[in-house]
Amino acid sequence: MKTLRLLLLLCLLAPSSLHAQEGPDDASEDPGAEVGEEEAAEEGEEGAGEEEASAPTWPIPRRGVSVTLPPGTLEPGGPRLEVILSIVINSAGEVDDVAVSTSSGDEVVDRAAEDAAWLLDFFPSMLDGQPITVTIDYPMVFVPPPPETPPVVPASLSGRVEVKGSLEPVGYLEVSLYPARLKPDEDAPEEGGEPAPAEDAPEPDEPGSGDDDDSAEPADDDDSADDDDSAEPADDDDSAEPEDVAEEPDAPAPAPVIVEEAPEAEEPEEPVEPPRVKDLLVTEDPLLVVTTDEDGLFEFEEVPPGLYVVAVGSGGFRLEKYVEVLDEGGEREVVYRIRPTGVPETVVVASRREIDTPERVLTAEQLRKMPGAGNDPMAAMQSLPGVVHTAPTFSAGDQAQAPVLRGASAEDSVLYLDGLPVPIIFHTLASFSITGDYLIEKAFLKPAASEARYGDLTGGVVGLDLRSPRSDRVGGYIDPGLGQASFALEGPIREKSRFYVGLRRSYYDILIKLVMPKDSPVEFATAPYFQDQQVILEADVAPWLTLGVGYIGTLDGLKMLGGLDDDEEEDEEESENEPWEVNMLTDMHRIYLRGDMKGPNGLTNRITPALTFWGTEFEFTSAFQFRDRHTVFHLVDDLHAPLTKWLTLDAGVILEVDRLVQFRNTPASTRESEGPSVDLGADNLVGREVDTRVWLGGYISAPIKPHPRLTIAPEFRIDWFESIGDVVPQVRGRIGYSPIDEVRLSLAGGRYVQSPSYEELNAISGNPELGPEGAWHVNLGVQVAPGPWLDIDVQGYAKFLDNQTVSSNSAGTSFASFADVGDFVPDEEEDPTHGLSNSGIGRIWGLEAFARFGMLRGVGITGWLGYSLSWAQRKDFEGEEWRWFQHDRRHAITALVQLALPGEFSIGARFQFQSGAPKTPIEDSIYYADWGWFVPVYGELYSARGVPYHQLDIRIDKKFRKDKHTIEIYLDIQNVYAARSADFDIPSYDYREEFGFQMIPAINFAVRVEF
Amino acid sequence: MRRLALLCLLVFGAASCFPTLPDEYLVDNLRVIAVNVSPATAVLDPFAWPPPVITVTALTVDPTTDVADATHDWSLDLPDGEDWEALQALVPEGPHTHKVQIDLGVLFETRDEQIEWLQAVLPLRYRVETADDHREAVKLVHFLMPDFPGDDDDSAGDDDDSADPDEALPTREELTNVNPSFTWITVGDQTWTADQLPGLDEPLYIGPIGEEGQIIEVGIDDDEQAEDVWVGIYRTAGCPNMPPESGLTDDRGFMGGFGFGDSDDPCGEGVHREPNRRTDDPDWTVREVAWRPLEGETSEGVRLWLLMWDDEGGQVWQELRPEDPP
Repeated sequence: MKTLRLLLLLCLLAPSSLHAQEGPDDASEDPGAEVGEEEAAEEGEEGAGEEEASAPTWPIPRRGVSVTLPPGTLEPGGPRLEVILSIVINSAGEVDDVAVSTSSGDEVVDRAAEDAAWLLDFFPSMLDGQPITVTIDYPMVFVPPPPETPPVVPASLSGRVEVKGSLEPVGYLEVSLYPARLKPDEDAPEEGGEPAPAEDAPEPDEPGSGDDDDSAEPADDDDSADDDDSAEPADDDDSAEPEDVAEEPDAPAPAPVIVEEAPEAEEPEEPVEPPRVKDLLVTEDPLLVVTTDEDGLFEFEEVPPGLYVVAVGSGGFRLEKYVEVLDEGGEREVVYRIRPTGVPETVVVASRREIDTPERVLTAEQLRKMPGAGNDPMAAMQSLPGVVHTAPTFSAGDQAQAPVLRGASAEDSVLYLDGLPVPIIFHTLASFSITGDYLIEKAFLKPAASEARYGDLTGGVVGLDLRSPRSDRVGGYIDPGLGQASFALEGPIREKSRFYVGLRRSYYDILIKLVMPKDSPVEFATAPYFQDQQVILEADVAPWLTLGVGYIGTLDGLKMLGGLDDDEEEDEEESENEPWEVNMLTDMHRIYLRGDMKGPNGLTNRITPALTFWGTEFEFTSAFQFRDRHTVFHLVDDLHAPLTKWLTLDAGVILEVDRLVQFRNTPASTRESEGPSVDLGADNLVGREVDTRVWLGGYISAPIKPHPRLTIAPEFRIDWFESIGDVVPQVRGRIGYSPIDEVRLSLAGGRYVQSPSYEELNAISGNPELGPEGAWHVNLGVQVAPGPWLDIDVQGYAKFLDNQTVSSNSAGTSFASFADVGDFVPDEEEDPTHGLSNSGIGRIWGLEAFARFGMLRGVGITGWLGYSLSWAQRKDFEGEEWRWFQHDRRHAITALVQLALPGEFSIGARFQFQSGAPKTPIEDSIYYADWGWFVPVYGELYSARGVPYHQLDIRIDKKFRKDKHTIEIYLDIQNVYAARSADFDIPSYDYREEFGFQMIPAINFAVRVEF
Repeated sequence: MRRLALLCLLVFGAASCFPTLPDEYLVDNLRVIAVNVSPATAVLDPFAWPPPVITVTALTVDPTTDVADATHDWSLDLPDGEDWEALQALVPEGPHTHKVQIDLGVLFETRDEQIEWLQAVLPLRYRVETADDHREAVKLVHFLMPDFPGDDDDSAGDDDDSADPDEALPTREELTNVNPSFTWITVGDQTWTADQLPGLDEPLYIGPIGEEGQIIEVGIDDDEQAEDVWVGIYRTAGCPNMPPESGLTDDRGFMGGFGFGDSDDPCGEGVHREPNRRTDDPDWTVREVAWRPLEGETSEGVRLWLLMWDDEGGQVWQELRPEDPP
């Protein structure tokens, strides 16, 4: 606008005073002749009439005039300016003179008023019927333009959607914004009354099923006691956390009802109740819809201010609605915490493997939910195809804790914890993993034909990978547990560093001491206990480098005394019974550093030096004792370098230096239990040995993709075992081909070599001259995944073992002839091998089928079906017939079903069946009258079968979500129908009958609070 | 894993129902309960020639069959080989009964000088076979033989080199074991002294025993310390304990009371006392066992064997019949 055009109001106004030229001179001085400008304007005509006989008439403007003021002269919305002009109007009604009588204070305005006055034209003033010249005071009022109506400034609403309780961000979720208004009063429900009928309160579009209606309105949500008040955005008046009040949608929103009210609230001390969703009418269609990003963030921009309902949730989350009042120009930030429905939106049972070797992977969630596993990852792994059921192992070290994979010996496989070989992965007294489940990222099982990265094995690999501490906030959990308690705390230290601290400790020892009678002949000097602890620190020191330091420790102990008389415990010499003692101790403490480097184009390198102190002790009176104490240094480096689109290089090294001290006072040992033996008082092998054993290995793998559907990965590995003085090269490889997207064919295998264990190599009871054991693996796999809801994996395999360490100590020993007893244990001086040699060979073949499925039928249904068919044979000495491995189980079936129900309630069941393991039949027994013993007479080694193993486990869990923490309660029942144990048979006194344990169901109940 | 079998059993026992195992002391089929060798240690004394003939008697019982009709076979349990053939001649040719006599004197000639006594054993195998069943047992026949200087027999003299010349050699008496013996048996108000006991082959009729049970007290004697002598009672029926109403104290202790599967045992509620010495007997020379018929049954036809054995293989028994003499 270049000029400001003003309409002069003077055309509507009468002059405020009038002076006749020919009249008395003092007329202009007659104060009574002057009229106030306003009054004059209103009363001019009336006044003129009253003075008609003696006073001139008022000149009447013939027309109005307008004037243009320079821009900016008058402030829009500012005060009016008035100029009083003194105008001389002649008898013709023309203006003869103009002068400013009273200035407006603005010369420009005054001048404009003068200029405008010259343009005026009047009906002249009349006196006695004659036009006369008069001078009048003429007010001119300049009315500034009205203030500019400011444009409506839009508001914005931004925030984050996260999972209630766990506070994890919810990404890729729709957030809808619906304009709303209050229902008319007559329709509004009375306070505390019934909610408005649905037709009166059209709700936003509900993406989910209609059964979420109630939950969509948190204010009306009363479906469970766990739904705390904070789930009701409109009702939550908890002001204990000011930042929450400002941020959270649960907090009272600004009350729209007071928008039009005067700010001077009559009762300012009382907060105004925000409206509830049910008190509002909303549009049928949303005004805006946005989707959260990966971090759960969303933003509505340019939103007209007003009252809104925000609807959040779809698919796997319950629909929640929040009332928002957006003030003009306001920038509201909120945090919406929504609850999962418990029923997944989609079911993904498996993803395409990146490698073409047989591998089963269980995620942390799958591990946790496994029925019968009691939240323990290693227990969960036991039900995967390829894992043979064995009796619980209460031993440690030298892979004694590894599961039996594909029929061979446990010692043939290796255990890895977060990328490093580990001697102890679960507690020897409780079979719980030493890291618990909370820190686990995933668990994997490679039953055979593993990549070249893994060495010193002829079997498979079982590993647990740990996750990094969380960096978004401080969190953790507390689990009082049944018989054990644990907790963890983790979170950011500074912007780019984080920590994790965890501890678990059993309290069985306390319970045992409470229930143990004081006069018991058995006393626990150390009641059985176990504990583990973890500390991890991580820091992103550079965009390409993350450094970590960690400590993982475990400690198990038991010391039991027996044979003590009630009154003579203090003086064992006088005890009438011979005292006995069982002592058991296992510990491991690992400290490691870690460097994770990232380079361009996907280049990664991880280097991990670690120091592990571990040992195991067992003592059963003086008849059986061993103590091992190890100090192990590891240096592991793994490089992954995608060189081109079709060529990747994987390479690495491992150095292991094991300084060990061994003490033995034991009978001669065997590698695999080679059948029953009977010890009629043969002397133990006793000795102490100190040694340092070095293993240095390296590998290189070069996966080539000559075609997008074809991968060929030649691999090479070489290991140097200092203890046996051998350098062993191993060639491996794998090929994968996808004829169509849904099918992957794979072939993997190669050479695998391992050193005999330290127990087999020691000079006390083993043979230091043993050589490496070897195996050839070949594995043919087919993976069919027609969709994310189904994955079928079939693996056929064969393994050929050579140079296996075997013992001649017990195989074939019979006590039918007492005179043979003297030859049972060879004289150490005569036979420094202690009966151990590398003469064993083996062959193992079979197939595994593993189908994982998932579907949605109102609830989420997931599960798997696994089947394994296996033959495992061995021949210990030349000339022998093939015989079965100790753990050769022909058929193994695992079926697992889990139902995810609304409300985060889930039920699962797992059934396992494995056919009987080989056993050596007892054909007769002989009564040795001098000692009152029956000695069994065994038949052919492993020529019979034990009873099958079968077990049903169920699990029920429920998660309750509070605002910033969750409570998970689960009940895990193992062996529901009390199946007979297939692990230990107790013979009758004369070995004519065998009796199995009737295992009672094991109940595991726990409450875990995660925050 | 085998090395930790004990611990496994303990853990399993705590988490499972321990199976109810057959009672070794309940004789319900063909059994060889004990083997008595008399004398328990034979001495081949060159100055008291000929040596005694060893009588070996098996306590072979079968509640359903007369073992006299069974086939008995005695042999030496030795490896095959010519070196051992001569020893096999010690066992007389069959047919055998539950008793056999061995004359060691046939193997040795008399010698004029004696330096040292050597302990030796002969593993004697016994097999009894009925129409339906069989049992085998091995009994070590202990004897002392002189170790003559200059004897190159490996089996006798190769320990000489390690002997301390200043160390006193064990005497013949120290090396000789004697079978334990019953000095008396008391059942209720009736006592039988040693010379009143019928011995290995004949039963002692102790009169009927009602459901209230009966404590049987035994006086023992042995060349070993009394603590190393054990007394047990085998039975064809009934329970080896007193009924709960007897008012006696159960001394089974912690493990016995920990619920290891007695639920199916008809005798499980009874009062069982271990060890079976009397608390007012510091010398351990008096032992007591108990027996009672099952509820609703009588003691008629039941056979009991009071067995006593020491750590050196000495064994003796007395069969008891809880009924009136025929």
